Parts: sequence; C-alpha cells; structure tokens
Amino acid sequence: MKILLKALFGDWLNCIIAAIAVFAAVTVTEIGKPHLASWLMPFMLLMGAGYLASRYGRS
Amino acid sequence: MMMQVNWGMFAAVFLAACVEWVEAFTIVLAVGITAGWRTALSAALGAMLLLSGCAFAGGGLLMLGAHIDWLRGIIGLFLILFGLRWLAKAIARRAGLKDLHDEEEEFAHAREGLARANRHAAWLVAFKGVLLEGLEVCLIVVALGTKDKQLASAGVAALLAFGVVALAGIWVRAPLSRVPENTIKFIVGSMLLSFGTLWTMETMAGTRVWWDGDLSLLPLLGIYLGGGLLVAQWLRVTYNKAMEVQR
Repeated sequence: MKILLKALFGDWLNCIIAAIAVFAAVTVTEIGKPHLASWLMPFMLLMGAGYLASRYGRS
Repeated sequence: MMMQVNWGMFAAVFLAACVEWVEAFTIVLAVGITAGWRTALSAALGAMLLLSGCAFAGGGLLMLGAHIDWLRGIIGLFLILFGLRWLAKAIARRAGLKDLHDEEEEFAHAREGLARANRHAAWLVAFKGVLLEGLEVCLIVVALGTKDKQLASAGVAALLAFGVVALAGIWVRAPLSRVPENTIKFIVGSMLLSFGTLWTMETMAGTRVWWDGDLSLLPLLGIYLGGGLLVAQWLRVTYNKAMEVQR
C-alpha cells in the first residue's frame, strides 16, 4: 500500500506544488482567461520543479 | 480495422519504461549474482504477475465508460505529479546538486547488503524492486494508453522496452550504466508534464484553450525542456557561488 501511494503521489511537497499550479490555473480560467492559464500552468510547474531541485542542494 | 498508433505516446511510454526497467534489472542482477538466479528470477516473475493483474484491472476500470474528459483530467493530474518528480531530479543532477544515478554503485551497494542477508530477504529485495519500478511503468502505460483507447500500443511499448533492456543487460552482462539515464529522465519528465498540462487544461477549459489541439504538445515540450535547462544552469551558478562563499 505504501509503495502504491508513493508511486502515485510522491512526497507531500510534490503534491503541494502540483496543487498550487492547478489551483492557480483553475482560478485564472474561471475569471475568463483560459489562454493565460494555459501558459501560467507550465510556468508554475517549471518553477516548482526548480524549487524541488534546489532542495537537493540543501540536503 | 487497423488502429492508428499515436507515435508520440508510444515513444514517451517506451523511454519511460526503459528507465524503470534498467533500475529493476540492476536489482535483479545483484540478487541473482549474490543469492542465486532461482531466487532472483522467481521474485521477478512473482512481481511481474502481480503487476500484470494491476495493469489489467486498472486499464479495464478506466476503459469502462467513464467520461473521457474527466478521465483525461485525472490522468493529467497524475502525469503532472509524476513528471514533476522526474524533471526536478533531472534538473538537480544536471545542476550538480545531486549525484548522477550510478547503476554500478547501486549494484555494488545491493550486492554488499545481500551478502549479509538470507535468501528470503534477497527474494523480497528483488520482488520489491521489480514491483516498485514495474508499478511506475504500469501507471505510465495506463495513463498514456487510455487516451484514444491506445492501451494495447502503450503495453507493447512497455514490453518492447523490457525486451530491449533485458537483451542489452544480457549482452553487456553488467549494470546498464552506459544508458544516459539523466538525459532520458529530462526528456521523459518534460513529456509527462506536457501531456499532463495539456489534458488537465483541456478538462478545465476545453480544447479551445490550445492553439492547435495535440500539436500544442510541441511548444509545451519546448517550454519544459528549455526552461528546465535554464533553471538547471541558474541553480548550478547559484550553488557554485554559495559554495565559494562558504570556503
């Protein structure tokens, strides 16, 4: 079970970054700017990946 | 009727599966040499059987009538979670923040640990290794394969990857350290994120959000690959400066 959960979701920080990116995209879509959301989402995910990568340097 | 194969999806599944099978193969190889091939192969077979059951159950459930848009959205979210991890690790390795995945070191480490363990523990090591890596392959197959009902071709891509890795392993008879794993992880992480972004946004805002349907995958891939390289370069410079200040 633990293996399955780890394979599906990764660690909590991974989930939080993905959730923030999706939430931001949903919000921007809801206010009527879906095209902006479609560019915002990859940008946020890329920044999130960079932040996750930077944590390896601290550990 | 001939089924149209989505070659972009096929390549993504094949590359991702190659990386996972290389890791699984390394563990099985270490167990085989240390605790005997019977132990290693029976554990690998047991894990593969369990994985086949999971793949059929998962794929079958997803193919049963669920609304394609919602299905795509949920799958997109899992691809984002998956791709984010891969891309972050690939960026960290490229920036020098994390050691490159060394199959030879992992092989030696596994072998050293196994020398102290009994046969039962060795079986469990191989079983868990193949199960964990194989589970990731299953997730990729089910996630990418359900799009346009391409589960069969996604399964073929994963099996083809398994065959290629097994043959390469037998040929070199050593851990597959020659496979440039980080490069593959960089590309596959970007591909998974691109598919995930495309499908999640399509679910939320409809297909009109992208300039040209599935072709929008190409600029997305470019953003993740190019952006990832830039972020890695920036992290490398920042990290080196911080190290100099510490000295």
